Amino acid sequence: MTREKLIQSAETIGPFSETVAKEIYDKRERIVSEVNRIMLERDDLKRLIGDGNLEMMLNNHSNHGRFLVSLLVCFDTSVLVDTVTWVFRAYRSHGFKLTYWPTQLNVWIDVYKQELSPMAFDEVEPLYTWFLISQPFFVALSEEPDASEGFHGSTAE
Amino acid sequence: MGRKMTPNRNHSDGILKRSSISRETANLFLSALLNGDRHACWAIVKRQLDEGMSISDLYIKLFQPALYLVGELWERNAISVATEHMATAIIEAQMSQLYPQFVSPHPNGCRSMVTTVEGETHRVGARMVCDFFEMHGWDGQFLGSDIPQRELIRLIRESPPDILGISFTMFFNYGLLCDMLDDIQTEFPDLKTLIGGQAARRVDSRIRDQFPDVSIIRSLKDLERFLSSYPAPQDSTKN
Repeated sequence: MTREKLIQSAETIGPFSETVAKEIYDKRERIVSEVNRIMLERDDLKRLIGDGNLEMMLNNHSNHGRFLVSLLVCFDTSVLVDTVTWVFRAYRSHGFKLTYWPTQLNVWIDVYKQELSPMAFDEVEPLYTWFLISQPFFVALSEEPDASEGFHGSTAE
Repeated sequence: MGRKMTPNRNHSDGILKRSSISRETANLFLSALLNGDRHACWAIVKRQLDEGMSISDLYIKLFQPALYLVGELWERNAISVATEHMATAIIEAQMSQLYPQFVSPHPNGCRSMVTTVEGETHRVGARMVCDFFEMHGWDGQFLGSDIPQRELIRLIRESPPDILGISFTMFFNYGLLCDMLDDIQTEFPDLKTLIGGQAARRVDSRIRDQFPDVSIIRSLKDLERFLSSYPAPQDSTKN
């Protein structure tokens, strides 16, 4: 699947209501710390993230929490696809295994179910289902050179 | 000492495709940067200046593309985070070394305050913006990165600048940017605010829709144009 097709497939998600965005914004720190707690308790964590990557994982979760809030207030499908592609490229090149993504995405879903109102959960859950379904395409995209516009590589000069 | 890093052709292409710096210079600068050779970097900078390059062009054509490239090399695990930080620190040191050459002896009486969105760790872009204000005769106040929002508000209240510049590099901070702009515009409705950075370029129309009074600065060149056309204050100390 090309980047453009992936962007197209993301157009079925969202937009999100302001109420849900506010609820998630208010609960974001608690959600991230709960995701961290669950992931840190896993016996197989080292196998999922590789050696010496604990801080990078925690950083990813913190960024993920802020990313979700940002998507809820500004749902832009090309930014969504390019950001996730960038994450796959950067984290995989540092030793994160493919199994890390479905594991952590399922943890996010479980924590949302526990922390969010049913209305907020129903709005957010399709995005995570899309993440899970799209993982193989992100893997392929992240292996292509310059697959996205990049975040450290684009200038407007 | 660790092994010497030799950037390959593709690496220096990263600088070349974004500037008119020669391949040899791009290669030498990147190699010196990745090996932590601050003196060699300075020698290259000095040679560019001696050959007539302006300091603003040096920022745009050498420092900025080199920093983007260093970021890309980290993303691909071609360099460690320590090397990335070292390279960034060397560029910041070169900027400090250049400061006496561009600070205006005739300040125009305007003051800018430049920072990043809360949570943002990329600070050099904001610092470059602040230096560009200085190059245009402004008093540039650089607050660093990741200032808590309430502290920024307090600082603006205590000493309001003519312009506030906010660097927004990573899209995942968009929610925090909106929150920050909401607070700033509520408390200081007349404060001219500029937003720049790589993420700002990607979602500029969204920012404009949500915050029509905010100006998006798409590049350092764009900032130069903005500053050149900015009206001089009545009480300028110039002349």
